[in-house]
Amino acid sequence: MTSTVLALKQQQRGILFDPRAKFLALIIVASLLLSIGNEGLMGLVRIVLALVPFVLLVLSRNIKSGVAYIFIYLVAYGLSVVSSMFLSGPLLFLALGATGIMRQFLPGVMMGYWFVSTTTVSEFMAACDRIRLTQSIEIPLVVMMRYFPTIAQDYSQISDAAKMKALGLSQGPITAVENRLVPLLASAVRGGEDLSAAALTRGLGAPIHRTNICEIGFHACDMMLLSVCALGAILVFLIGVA
Amino acid sequence: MNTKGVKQGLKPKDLINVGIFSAIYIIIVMAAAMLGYIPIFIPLLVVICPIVGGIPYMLYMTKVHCFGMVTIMGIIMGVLMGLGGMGLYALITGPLFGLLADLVLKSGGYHSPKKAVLSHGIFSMWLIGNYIPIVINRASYFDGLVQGYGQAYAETLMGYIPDWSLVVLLAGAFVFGIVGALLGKAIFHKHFERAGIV
Repeated sequence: MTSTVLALKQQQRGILFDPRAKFLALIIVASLLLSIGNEGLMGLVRIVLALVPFVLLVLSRNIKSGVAYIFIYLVAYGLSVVSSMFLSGPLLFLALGATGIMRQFLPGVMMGYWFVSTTTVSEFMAACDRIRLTQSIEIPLVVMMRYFPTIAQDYSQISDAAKMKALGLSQGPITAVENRLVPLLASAVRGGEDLSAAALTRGLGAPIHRTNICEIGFHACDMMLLSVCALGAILVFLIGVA
Repeated sequence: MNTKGVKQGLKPKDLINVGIFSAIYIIIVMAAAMLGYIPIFIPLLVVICPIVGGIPYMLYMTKVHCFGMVTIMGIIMGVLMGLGGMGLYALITGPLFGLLADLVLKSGGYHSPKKAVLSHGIFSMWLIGNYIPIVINRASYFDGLVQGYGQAYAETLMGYIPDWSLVVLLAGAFVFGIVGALLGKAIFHKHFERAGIV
């Protein structure tokens, strides 16, 4: 089992931010994306905001995802411009809807991906301890972070197996879903038991305070990140007022 | 409430199960919600999401033995929706309907299959939090739509979601939550009980 969520080695992780700073940045970007419009100056701000996850992913040496993200974003943006020029009626609806939702949510989703992919489970737990988050929320969140990649892996293996047995959409959509969902759930139940046993062995939920060797703290890069975010928020506020 | 929960009955094992099933639930529901990419289907999500969500939820019910587990799941759904840019109302509706679902389960002593089905109906109503911004900020939401998608598109989508539709959507989430739970129960009997997984 790897300790980092996506098995990144220490030296490959680029700039290391504090998990709390990352989380704050995530909240700020998500709420800014939620509160601004699409037109004029705000449209420009929206594009700048969309660049934030790209820059952060590159800084964290996850260049492949960053480039893939910015490519998809730009294609969606270009398509929405092109389709509003050439299409009309229901087809325009479909095109604008699909690309619009992409533009609306993709930056926020990529911020979330950046957070999950650059934070190790230990770092996350250390941060939760520092902000005194109750265990009832902390443990489920940690488990979720740890479990998402497992689901992805399980799913790809299950669909490989389904393909090998020629179980596709030809049996009808409900059977197709059932063929994939049921094994996934079965492995979740088993995985849950394994994970509980592993975590209990490491003293999770022991009555005394757990120690953590993971060093987290605010450094210059965190200050930079947060001041950029704060500056952006103030700027958006001022534009909104003006 | 939460810190008390740890002492009273929520063991680490329960919390780990909350995490695992929240992860599976959110992935399955979000996969179904991809249909929302075609915006005319947005109101339909209260039908599809509860139906597919019922399958992991009913399996989750076999792991729920004490108060608070469904509430925490609701809180997590709210946090994820808030961070995912779906608006902040799910931060209220998630814990609220989670708590109500928990109370229903508690009244059945966490063993009643009927109460489990009912509780999924109630839990599914958290989805309404994602629709509230459309109605509450109707004017600004409409402006945003016009700017982003054009006048005709905005009027069509708004026509699909009048103010009173929030009640219909809530009721729809409940009804299809129950349908989903029954489906989940059927799948559960067909696959998991026979195979001895639970």
